[in-house]
Amino acid sequence: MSAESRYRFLLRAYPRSYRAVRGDEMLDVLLAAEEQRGRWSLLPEAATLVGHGLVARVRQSPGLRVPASVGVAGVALALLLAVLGAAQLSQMGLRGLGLDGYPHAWQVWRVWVDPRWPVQVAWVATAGALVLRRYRLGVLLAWTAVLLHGWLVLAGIATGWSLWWVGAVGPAWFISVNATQASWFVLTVTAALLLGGPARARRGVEAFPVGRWAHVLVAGLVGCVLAGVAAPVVFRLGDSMDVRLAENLRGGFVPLLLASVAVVALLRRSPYGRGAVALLAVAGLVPVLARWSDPAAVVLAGGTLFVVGYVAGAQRSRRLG
Amino acid sequence: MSKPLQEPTFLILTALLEQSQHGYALLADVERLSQGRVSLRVGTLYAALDRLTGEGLVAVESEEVVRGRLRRTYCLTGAGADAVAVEADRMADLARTARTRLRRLRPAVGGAR
Repeated sequence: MSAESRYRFLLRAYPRSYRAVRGDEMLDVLLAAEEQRGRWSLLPEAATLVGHGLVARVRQSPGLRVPASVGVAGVALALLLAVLGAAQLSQMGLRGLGLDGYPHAWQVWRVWVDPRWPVQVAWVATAGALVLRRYRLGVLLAWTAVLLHGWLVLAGIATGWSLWWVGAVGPAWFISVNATQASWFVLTVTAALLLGGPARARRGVEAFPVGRWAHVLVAGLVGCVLAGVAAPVVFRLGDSMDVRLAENLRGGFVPLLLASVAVVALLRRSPYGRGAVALLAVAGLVPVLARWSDPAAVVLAGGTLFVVGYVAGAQRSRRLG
Repeated sequence: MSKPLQEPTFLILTALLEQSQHGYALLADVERLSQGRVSLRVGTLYAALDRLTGEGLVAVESEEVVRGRLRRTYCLTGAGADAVAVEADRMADLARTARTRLRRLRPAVGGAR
């Protein structure tokens, strides 16, 4: 490969429009510099060209405003985790009170204990902090959730491998680390990484739609969790129990559907990017892929792909004008 | 108070004080000015030129075709010369302070200069 074709190849890291203006000029200087400095300079020169080229691409592409769009995806995922966490917490509360008809296997003084509850509390608190515009606190809580979840997974793995001395310092005897648990951990880490820092979380929250429909959606999500809490109590009073209805209202398809609509509404209105959509797709699919044999997971995977496809299509049509 | 210039930026602007130059001449002049200490990569040079042009400190003076390729010559603007002057004053102040403190600490070393 000649020096010219080598540098032309490296310059492809820059966007086409940039190359049209600068390409020939830069190539001229690159060839002259190699003549003067020798071929040993190729590697650092290549690294610099690729680095600056990618930065130029990010700056030029209207759909790739990375910090804002990644923050948006992070806030959306944090809210989704918070909804699921609130649903599970309400379920635990009911079990603690003996109102849901499940066997009360893990009780401490009639309170049903699940070692995952601190993680769920942390995500609900994260969402609360973001809504109250306490961005630093929100990010801190998100990373707390990651640490707690990581500790649980590590303790579960250690117990599975008979490393009792690690299990002894963790509550691993409560849970086994299966594929679902591990994949939820991936989702948790993804959300925290997307939130990144306070500035990114702030941009994500500021890009949120604040119109009438957003309020309706948030009210719907909260209503689902509350109705899920109230339903077993009502049925219990009537001496009948419909656990499945309550489950669906709390953490089932209804809140998931509402949360998905909220994410779509958010991404349609905000300066999201292709990177954010791709990350959402991966983050949404990981737990589903881990439970591919579950029919509900297949439905959820289809739903996730639909949401991502819709958002990507909307983005493309907007870009094309 | 304006933000201090990064060393490569200062060197590029200083190189253009003497005369307008094209890309490769700028690379060589920066290396000469820094006595071989700063060897700019081409990608870094053009990223800096993009930024400085955007900030109005540098402008394209002329364009010519050499060996079938476009070559641009860059020159310093009035704002660019001002920026170099401010930075040079800042560095001179800092150097003066450092020398004064050195003289107090080690009169033999600081005072010898």
